[in-house]
Amino acid sequence: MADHPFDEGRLRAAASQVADDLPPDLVDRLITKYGTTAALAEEMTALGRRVWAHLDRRGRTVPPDTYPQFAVALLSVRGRLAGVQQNLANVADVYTRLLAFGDVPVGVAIATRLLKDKDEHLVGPMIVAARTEREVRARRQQPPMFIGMVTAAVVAVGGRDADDLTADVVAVLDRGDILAARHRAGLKVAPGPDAGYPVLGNADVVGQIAAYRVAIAEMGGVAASEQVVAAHGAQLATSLRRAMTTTLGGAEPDVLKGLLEFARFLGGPEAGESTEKIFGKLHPEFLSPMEFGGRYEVPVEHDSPALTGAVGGTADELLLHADHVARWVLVELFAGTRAPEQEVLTAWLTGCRPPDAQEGMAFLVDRVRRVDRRLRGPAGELPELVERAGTAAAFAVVRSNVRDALTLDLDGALLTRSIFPPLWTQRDGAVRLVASKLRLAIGRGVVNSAKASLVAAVVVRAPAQQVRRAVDLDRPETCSCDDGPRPVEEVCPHRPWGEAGRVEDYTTLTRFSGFSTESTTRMHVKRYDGPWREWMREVREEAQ
Amino acid sequence: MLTAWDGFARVDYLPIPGRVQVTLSTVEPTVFGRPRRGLACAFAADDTGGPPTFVEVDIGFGLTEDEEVLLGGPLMAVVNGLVGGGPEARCTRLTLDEVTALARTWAPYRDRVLARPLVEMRSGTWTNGLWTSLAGLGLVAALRARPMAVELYRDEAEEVVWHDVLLPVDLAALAMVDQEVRWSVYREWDPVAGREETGVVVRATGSPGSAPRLLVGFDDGDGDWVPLVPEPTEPQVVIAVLPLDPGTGEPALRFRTGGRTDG
Repeated sequence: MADHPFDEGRLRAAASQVADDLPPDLVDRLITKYGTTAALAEEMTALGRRVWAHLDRRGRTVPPDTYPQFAVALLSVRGRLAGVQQNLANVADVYTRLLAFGDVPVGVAIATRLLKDKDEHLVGPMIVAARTEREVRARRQQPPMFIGMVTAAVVAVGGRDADDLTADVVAVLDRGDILAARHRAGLKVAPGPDAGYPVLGNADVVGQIAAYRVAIAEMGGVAASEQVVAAHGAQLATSLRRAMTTTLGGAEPDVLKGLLEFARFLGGPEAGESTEKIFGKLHPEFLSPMEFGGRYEVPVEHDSPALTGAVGGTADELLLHADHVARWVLVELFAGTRAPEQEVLTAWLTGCRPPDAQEGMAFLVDRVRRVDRRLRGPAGELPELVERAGTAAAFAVVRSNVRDALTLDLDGALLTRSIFPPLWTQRDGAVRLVASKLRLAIGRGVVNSAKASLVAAVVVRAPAQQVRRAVDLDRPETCSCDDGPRPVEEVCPHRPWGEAGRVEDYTTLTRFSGFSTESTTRMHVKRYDGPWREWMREVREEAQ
Repeated sequence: MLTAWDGFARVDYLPIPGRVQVTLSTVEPTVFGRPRRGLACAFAADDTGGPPTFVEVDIGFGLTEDEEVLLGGPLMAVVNGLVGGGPEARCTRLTLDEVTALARTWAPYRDRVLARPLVEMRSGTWTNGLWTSLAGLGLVAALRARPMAVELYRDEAEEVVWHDVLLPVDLAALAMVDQEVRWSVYREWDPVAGREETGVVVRATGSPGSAPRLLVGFDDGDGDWVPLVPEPTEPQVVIAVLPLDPGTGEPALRFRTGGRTDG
């Protein structure tokens, strides 16, 4: 008799969460095979029942709080053969191995499954690295990308006491910073652009990575100096250049290859490959230029009545309508998100995100556009909404805000505005931040840089703000918006988050992006085919 | 991926050679420049409106007020905690608004560093109520080209060659002068000092009926500002005289309005 009976509902929930947390390319492949993620979760649950029985016959039990790890073990996620596992003993093996590491978050468990068979020995280090990294991030201000790489390298190089890993990584960061500072002070940089970094990187970031590597070596007892940092810096610059000349193929930008090169370099000749794998599998988001912005396309259907607008009716009808709208908002916000994205969303919706923070800006802007499009357009059939422990607080806030907004008879864009806390205090900064990410996604060059600015200026708008498709020849060089709110039909790029109205026209966009004329800008709006093309399309198709 | 707009900054203090460095980490390629002695900076090559990705300031006898303004409050707070101690590097995180402020403050130097090849900048950039900085004007060349003379620049007998520069329109409006400002060079014998004095004279025309509030200085790290004062003979014209040794490097000329300085 097992201690824990099989709980089908609970396993199905765990399976569906695992399905959601898989990398997008893998989800695509699995959906091709099984139809929907719900069907996939169903398949996993059925297999789970058989594995549970298999384990039960061997006197083993599956405690309910390990269902997430159990669900991860049910999937075979490698290569083209991704799918639900066929072999019961395999599942049992994977599950047992995962349990050996104690409580492993689903995202990390999935990352371990993405390793190839020959890299099985990296499962443990990967789980340890994920844990250490979380602790270091709570203590240090360094860029998460550096912390992730350094942690992966310290773990991969090995030979450290597991209990002291956090302290070790912090020590490497501290030591690396001062080494980098001294190295930079002695570096003779010639004025002008550095031809050594045609695609990615610069003397400063390369010096920083080189310094971290020296600090890691020092920890292992190798004496170091600025000269060593300089030598490593030169070596890294060379590998970076070489990496840029060999393309990955597919749609991956070259810069991704460069970042993996950083991680590989940190691990040194012995542990470079392991470092690259641990870092790369744990952190797909650091390798994506937009940090999970604009990845999932949600189709818009045009077959049912508009979502908002005058409701009238009884209090009950209003509540019902509010519930309907709230569910749509939540679907648009959370569709296709994984745990890290859900954390960003929840922090924002529950008011825990400072209004001038940078975290996840491109992603959140993209979600604002989705909700805005949905609430202004016709509603399709409402998809199923799965609530998770981590998202409950955000869901409650959205439901209550939507109800309040509808009671006050707000509709469309005004409704979205009243639901969402401000994403910025000055729009200009948010536009430029997002433009910097777009530049990395689109690639280098004067025209691409202008395009990135153009797309950012078009997309980074609060819900009730629009782009006017017109030229304003009389517009003065300086916007005279200091005098307070302007009428909605006037164009002002500096409108605060809460102010409805037009924020850009072809003239402001031309000046901001640096295109020579308004007609060039108009042409780029029309022909743009890069990331966020759907939001550019929306602007050019929208009735004004 | 990491860009300077994410606001991750590393502030370094190095007692030898007496230097403060600030790095805003980015993976974007950058352009490096040295606007003047003791001040170097880099900017992301494709970011026409970005903050500096790297700044190097030689401390000398302490940071000048200008340098403190350039670094801004949040970074200065870190710098003040470091200077005087041993070599140290400290990490901090700037908010988006703080990065935006930094980007605005550095506009004059960004435009100059990113302008390649270095061209004469006749019209500068002015943001955040600070100063505009015009480089590559050829002040030293003009001084060297000028033959030895004992006449004052305003001597009627001598033909004075004036060069035009354009102030940013908002700066000119606030300073209550025409956008067009002119400069020339002078050489004269100073009987008191017993030597020749050379320098640059700057002249602006005030808007009718106003009291112009324009200051000028060399962007050479001294942080000195000279107010333009009315010419007795021409009430609408204000001038300033800036001594300059032609043996030194070519400084940039910078302008600000009187509101934010003690003169």
